Amino acid sequence: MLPPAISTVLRALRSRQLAVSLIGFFAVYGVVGTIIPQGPPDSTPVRTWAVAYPLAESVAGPLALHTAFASPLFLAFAGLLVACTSACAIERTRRALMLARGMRELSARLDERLRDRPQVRISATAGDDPAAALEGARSGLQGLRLRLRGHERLSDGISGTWALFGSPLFHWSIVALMLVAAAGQAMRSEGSIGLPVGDRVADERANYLQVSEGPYFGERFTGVELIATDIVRHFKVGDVDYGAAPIVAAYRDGVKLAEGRLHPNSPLRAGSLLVHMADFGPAATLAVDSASGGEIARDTILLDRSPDTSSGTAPNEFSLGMGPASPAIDVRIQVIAYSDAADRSTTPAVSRAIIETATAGSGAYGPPVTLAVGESLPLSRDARLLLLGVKDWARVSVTNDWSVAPIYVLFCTATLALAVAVLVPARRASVMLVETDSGWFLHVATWHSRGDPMFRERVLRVVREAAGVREDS
Amino acid sequence: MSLTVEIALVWSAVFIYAASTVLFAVGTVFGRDRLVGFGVALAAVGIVPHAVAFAIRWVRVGHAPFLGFYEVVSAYAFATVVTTVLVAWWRPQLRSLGTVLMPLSLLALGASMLADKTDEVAGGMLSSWWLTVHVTFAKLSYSSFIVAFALAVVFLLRAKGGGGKLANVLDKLPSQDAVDDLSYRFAAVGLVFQTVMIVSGAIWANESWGRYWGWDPIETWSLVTWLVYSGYLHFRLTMGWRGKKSAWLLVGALPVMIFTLLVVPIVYNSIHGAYLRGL
Repeated sequence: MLPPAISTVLRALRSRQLAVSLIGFFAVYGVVGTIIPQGPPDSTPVRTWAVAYPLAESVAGPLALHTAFASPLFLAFAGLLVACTSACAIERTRRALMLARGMRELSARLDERLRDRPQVRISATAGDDPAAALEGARSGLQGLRLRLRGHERLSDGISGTWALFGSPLFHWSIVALMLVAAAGQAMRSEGSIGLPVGDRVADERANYLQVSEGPYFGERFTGVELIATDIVRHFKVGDVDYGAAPIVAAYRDGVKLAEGRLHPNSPLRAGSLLVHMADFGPAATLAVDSASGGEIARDTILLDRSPDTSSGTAPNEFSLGMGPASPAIDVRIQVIAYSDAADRSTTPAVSRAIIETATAGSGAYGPPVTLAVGESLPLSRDARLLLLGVKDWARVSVTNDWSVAPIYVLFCTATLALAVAVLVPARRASVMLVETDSGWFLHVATWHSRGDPMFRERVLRVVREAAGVREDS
Repeated sequence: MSLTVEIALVWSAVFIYAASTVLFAVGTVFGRDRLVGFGVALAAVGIVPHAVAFAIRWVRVGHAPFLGFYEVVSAYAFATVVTTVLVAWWRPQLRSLGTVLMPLSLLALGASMLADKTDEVAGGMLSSWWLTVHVTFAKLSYSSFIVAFALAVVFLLRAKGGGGKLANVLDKLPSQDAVDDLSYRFAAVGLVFQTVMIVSGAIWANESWGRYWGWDPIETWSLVTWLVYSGYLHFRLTMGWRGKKSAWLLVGALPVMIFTLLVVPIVYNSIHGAYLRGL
């Protein structure tokens, strides 16, 4: 026995009014979330809207409606929806179990109810043999695809008992879906990693160009190493151009976990990692060595292609460490003539780069120098900057989300359960032969989980035909 | 085959559907059941040039009609006419539903003919079997919802009462209880199809973009539509709303669905919108 307060809360949570109110709330909230611009408070669309509609902003701002689907209001109502759906699922399970038990059992109560309180009475005296009328009704019910049982005077047909569990299963699936999706969002990470062709890059925070995590991700980077071995600029299947597509392999402790060519609709899966191709560009490898031939520093710079040309980049600036003894230098590099003739590129000999250097932080760059691969630029009397190579790199987006597989399963379960709940009815039709002072009668009762009026009509039609009468008595 | 032939075929479908619409309207208003029958036959005839036009375009551009306003809206018009004919064949008693459905398909096809008909090439992003599942179930859910809508309109017209020739035609439909139940069944099956559409879209989004749900305006509006029809089911099954109340809910729900399919992609600058605005 539950305490009264808990019973009251449970009763409120499983109320039909609350369920439809929440459905209505989320429908309206969804519309609001698409009308109000979404984004951080300092983003241009949000600021413009706030200035244009100050009154609406006085409501939207405090309620965090510019991040409508992550706002405390949304999360609170989502929590209430989970609680309400859970309470409904419990209630529906209890009811389905009760109904299923009632349908499976052939109780004395059914006999009593049919005998004393039938829904319809049909005279069975039109034909010569009342028992034959019941037998005819039995055949008729079988024709309606009902599974029959009963006794000498009773024929009870049922079907779709299992379908009673469609609705509870759907509600439980929705509850599980919401919980798993919420947990997945809280524990996922998503970001982009640059993969220079041939280099192994591990799934570690330091290797991400940018990364965002849920509050409970907890630094669970997998350490799986990714390596891009080839980038085709225009990967084609038939007439379809999938754009730039690298072959990417994933390794853990030197063991290959997966490998595949990445292009739209063809990601790479390695455990909970999902890797998508996003973009590609040139990666320039620069080194600083001393006059004596010793290498002081080396770095591979990932450059974004220029939107103006497919064969070069805009100028990019970065800082190159010179070892503990010397201060770093600032380098401005613009790759030009970037393998524009080749469809596939690894270390294009034709590549050149315009390079300028400056003392770190000074901003005073020296005159630009164009270098081919293998050429160098003197930095001082005993140091020079070498362009060691230019090769492709792939920007891949990496998602670490364990919840995707269970969500797929729950999607399928919820869809199937919904289909069963709304399309497969549980049905029952009972016919009893009863002798009264005024003769023999067929007493009929029907039940349809959806309340389909046609079912009752069909049952009555077959019973009337069996009894050889046209009208109800 | 050229765009000119394709357009000529679609125009011929427009004229045949227009004639069918007139037959449905005249047959229903003046109580001439035979004219309604001719309306169904003419709609079936109109499907042929419409389908051939799609086939010609499909072969030429290399993809099914799912890209750009012209293709998408024309495909919805096609789905409506096919649904009208199938329903009339499945339940001849329901053939006068064409009086509601054919004007809608004619309007949609007319609107599509005003749009740009340039060939759109589908890129790698759209080359997925999930697209086939997603679009197929979008069409199936739309078709189911529009029949549910038409049945609800018929229910309300009949519930309004009054005599006359219109009443005579409406009386040839199944009983009000049966129409009410049928409208529920079409809405329910539409909701199942729409669920498959949303689920397949979510799986496809994860394959393409690495996320199954992003609260994109079209995703959100699809969820809103799903919630509206779920609300309908709750009102009907748990709160006992039947008859007029239930019918009014269905009449109100269809515009939400149409807004989601045809207006949201144009109004909102969404990653999804390319299917209607073109790439």
